[in-house]
Amino acid sequence: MLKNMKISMKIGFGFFVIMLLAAGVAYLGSSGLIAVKDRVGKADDVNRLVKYILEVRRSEKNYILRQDQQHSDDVLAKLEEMRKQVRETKTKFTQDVNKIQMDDVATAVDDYANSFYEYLDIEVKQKEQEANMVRVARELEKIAIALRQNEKKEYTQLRTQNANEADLDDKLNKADAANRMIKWMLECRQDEKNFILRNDIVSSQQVTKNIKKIINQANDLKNHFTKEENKKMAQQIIVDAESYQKAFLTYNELNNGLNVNLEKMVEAARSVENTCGDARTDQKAKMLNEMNLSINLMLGGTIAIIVLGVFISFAIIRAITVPIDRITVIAKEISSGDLGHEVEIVQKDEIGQLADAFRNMKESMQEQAVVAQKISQGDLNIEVIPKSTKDVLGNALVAMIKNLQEQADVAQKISQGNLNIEVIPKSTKDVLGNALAAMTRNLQEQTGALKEAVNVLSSSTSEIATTVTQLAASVSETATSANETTTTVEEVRQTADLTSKKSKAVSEGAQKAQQISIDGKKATDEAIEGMGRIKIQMTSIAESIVILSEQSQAIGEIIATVDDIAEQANLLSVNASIEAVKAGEMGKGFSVVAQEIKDLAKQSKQGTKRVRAILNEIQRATGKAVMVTEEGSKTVEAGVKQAKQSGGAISTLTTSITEATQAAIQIAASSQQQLVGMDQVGTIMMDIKEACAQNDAGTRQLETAVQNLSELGQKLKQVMEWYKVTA
Amino acid sequence: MTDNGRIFKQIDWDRVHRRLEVSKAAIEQGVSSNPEEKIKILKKRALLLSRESSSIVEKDEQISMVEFVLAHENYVIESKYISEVYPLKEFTPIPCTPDFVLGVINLRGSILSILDFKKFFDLPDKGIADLNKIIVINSEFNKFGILSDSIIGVRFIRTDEINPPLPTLTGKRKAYLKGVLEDSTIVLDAAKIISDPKIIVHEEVGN
Repeated sequence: MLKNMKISMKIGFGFFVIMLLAAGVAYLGSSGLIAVKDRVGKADDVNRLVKYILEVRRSEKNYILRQDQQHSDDVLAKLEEMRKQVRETKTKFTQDVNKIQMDDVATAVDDYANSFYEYLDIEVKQKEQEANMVRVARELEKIAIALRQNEKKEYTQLRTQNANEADLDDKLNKADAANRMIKWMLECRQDEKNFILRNDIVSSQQVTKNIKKIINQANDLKNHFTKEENKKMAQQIIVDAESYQKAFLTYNELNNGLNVNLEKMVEAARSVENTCGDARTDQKAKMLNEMNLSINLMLGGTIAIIVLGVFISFAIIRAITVPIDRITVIAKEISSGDLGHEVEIVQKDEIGQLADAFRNMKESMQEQAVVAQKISQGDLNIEVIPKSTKDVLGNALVAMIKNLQEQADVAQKISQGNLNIEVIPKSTKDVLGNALAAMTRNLQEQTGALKEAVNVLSSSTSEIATTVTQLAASVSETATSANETTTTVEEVRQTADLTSKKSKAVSEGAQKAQQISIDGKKATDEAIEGMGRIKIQMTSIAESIVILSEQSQAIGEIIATVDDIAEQANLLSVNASIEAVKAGEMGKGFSVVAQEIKDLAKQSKQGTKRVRAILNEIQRATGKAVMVTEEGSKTVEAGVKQAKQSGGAISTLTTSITEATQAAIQIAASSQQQLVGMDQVGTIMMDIKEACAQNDAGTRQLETAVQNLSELGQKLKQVMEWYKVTA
Repeated sequence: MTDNGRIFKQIDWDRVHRRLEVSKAAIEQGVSSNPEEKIKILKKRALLLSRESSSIVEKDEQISMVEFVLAHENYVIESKYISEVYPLKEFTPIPCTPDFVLGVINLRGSILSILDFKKFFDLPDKGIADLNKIIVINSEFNKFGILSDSIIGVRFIRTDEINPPLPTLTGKRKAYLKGVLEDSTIVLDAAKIISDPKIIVHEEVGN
């Protein structure tokens, strides 16, 4: 069956089977998970119920402790919610066991609610009784106090009336009794409160005991009282005490009812909790079962898919690969050129078609091989018909045969000597065509070249013949020229001799000039040295003049001192005159001396003035002398510079003279060499004459050889005529 | 070369040497003092002295006066009031004195106050120099110095030579004048100057 299916169908079929299995497993897994989710929801509901009942109980306790409306409302609201939850959960459950469980829970909740309502009622009644008790107790107390008051009043009256001892005692006892009753009543109230708080039997017994005491006391008093008013009051006390007792008993009974209801509530709550716990455990167990079941189903399914998948894929792979492998082997054989094997696969799928195509290919290749073999044996007379216009190999064979026939034709023409054929290659890669084309081209060129060469050869031989004749003529001309040259050489020799002598004279003259220039250079050097000395002396002159000027300055200083002394002497003379006047007649002589001194001072002052003038002149003269020396020294420097320049010029002259001398010597030497050279030229000219005679003989031999060459050219021309070549 | 040669030829070295010899000899003579020259000079002086002796004879009617310069004007003052003349070397200015009091000097151990008459007479002042001299006035009342630009010398003047002062000569000076000489030398009255309370005023100011 698989053999005749298409490959795509095979692969598709495999995938389809595996996908079906995977879908089954996925369905199993998801249904299991949905069931688990459902169970979890139910268990959650049950849990919520448990939580509600716990909350209800908490609110109830809160109410009992605080007695407020809010908590009681809370309890009722929560109970209502529970009822609703129970109803919902019940609809969710499918099994009867669970429905019964939910019904049980519902009844328990109702029980609880009833008990709570009752509890509330009883509490209201209790409150009433409590109020009764308070009211009666207060009344009783009031009456008792009034009684005591009355007795006290009577007692004080009796005391003032000085009544007898017995009456007084009676009154005191009665007041005392009233007092006791008040006390008992207070104790009663205390115990009553204790009972309400503690709910114990001792307190209640205490209450009944005290009440009985009060009643007895009141009866006793009633019997003793004389006044009607007092009797009434005692009677009232009795009534009150009895009603108090009654109220207390009722309260007690109610209390019992309360406790009963509390217990009922506890029971109901517990039953709810227990039932819910059972339901939850049940759900949990069921859920675990479902989970295990789905896990097992999924594991089994997965294993089945893997096994089945492996089996199917193996079968499909084999169905595809086995025939392909066989075709591959045949294709490899064909590619290696072996066409002897048959293709044995017969199938209806794509592989079968591939095998058919291979068979056809092999047949056509065998046919073409036969054709190629014939061509290889040189037989070109074969008819090849291509399978179609796209049969590349067939078309190629047809073209090949055609080309080979064309090229064979060309080769035949060439062998007959016809070189005027044009071969056009099919492409640049057409080796045979290219070779044929190149061959014909080369043959054309070579035969052309040969023809040209033969033509050139024949024309050259005739040219050579003429040249040889000319050569013979020129050989005789050469002989005459050689004679003339010999005469000229003799003339040149004489001229060279003269040049040699003249140049020697020039060389001697140059040597003399050199000596003179050396002397001139020495003279200028000496002049420069002399100038240097002058410069030094000039400097020393300038220094001496400066020293002179400095000394004249010293003289000036000395003169200033002399001036000062003259001034002082003048002053001294004045003082002397003054003193002389003071001395009167005795001082007259002294006055003359003073005048003398004064004159002397004046003269020395004049002297110094003259000296100063002279000094100024000396100063001016020395300044001028220094200036002149400075100028002289500058002039000397310029002289030195000029002397140096002329020295340089002389030395340049010396070098050029030296060069000239050397040149003259060289000229002398070379003209000597010329003489020798001319002698050699003479000898050579004689040799040339001999060579001319030999040349004459050679040309004659040449003429014979040229004639032979001309004959050979004629023969070659005849051979070349055979090839047909267009120029 | 030719240029330099010409310059050298122009110097007559023999003449130069001769001149040097002469000057050398002259200097040596000056130092050693030629006795003939000396005698010549002494004779000349003697001649001069003999000529002046005639003027000394007439000195009896004459007054000896010291001539000095104040702001390019020549002044004379009687030498009988003058103890000496002295070069001004250094002085100490005294604060809180009138500007004509130059200061004090140390005259051989005694302190002498110096008056500047140029300031006193409101004459142009050219400043103090080394050449300034002090004329020391001495009297029984007073001893002080007068600053002068320079001292010319002692002069003998006859009383009739003194002309009355010119009316144009005004100012403070007028009070101290004795008269004017022919060569327009001003004769100061030393007695008036000494006794002038203005000069003494400065002592009170000093106190």
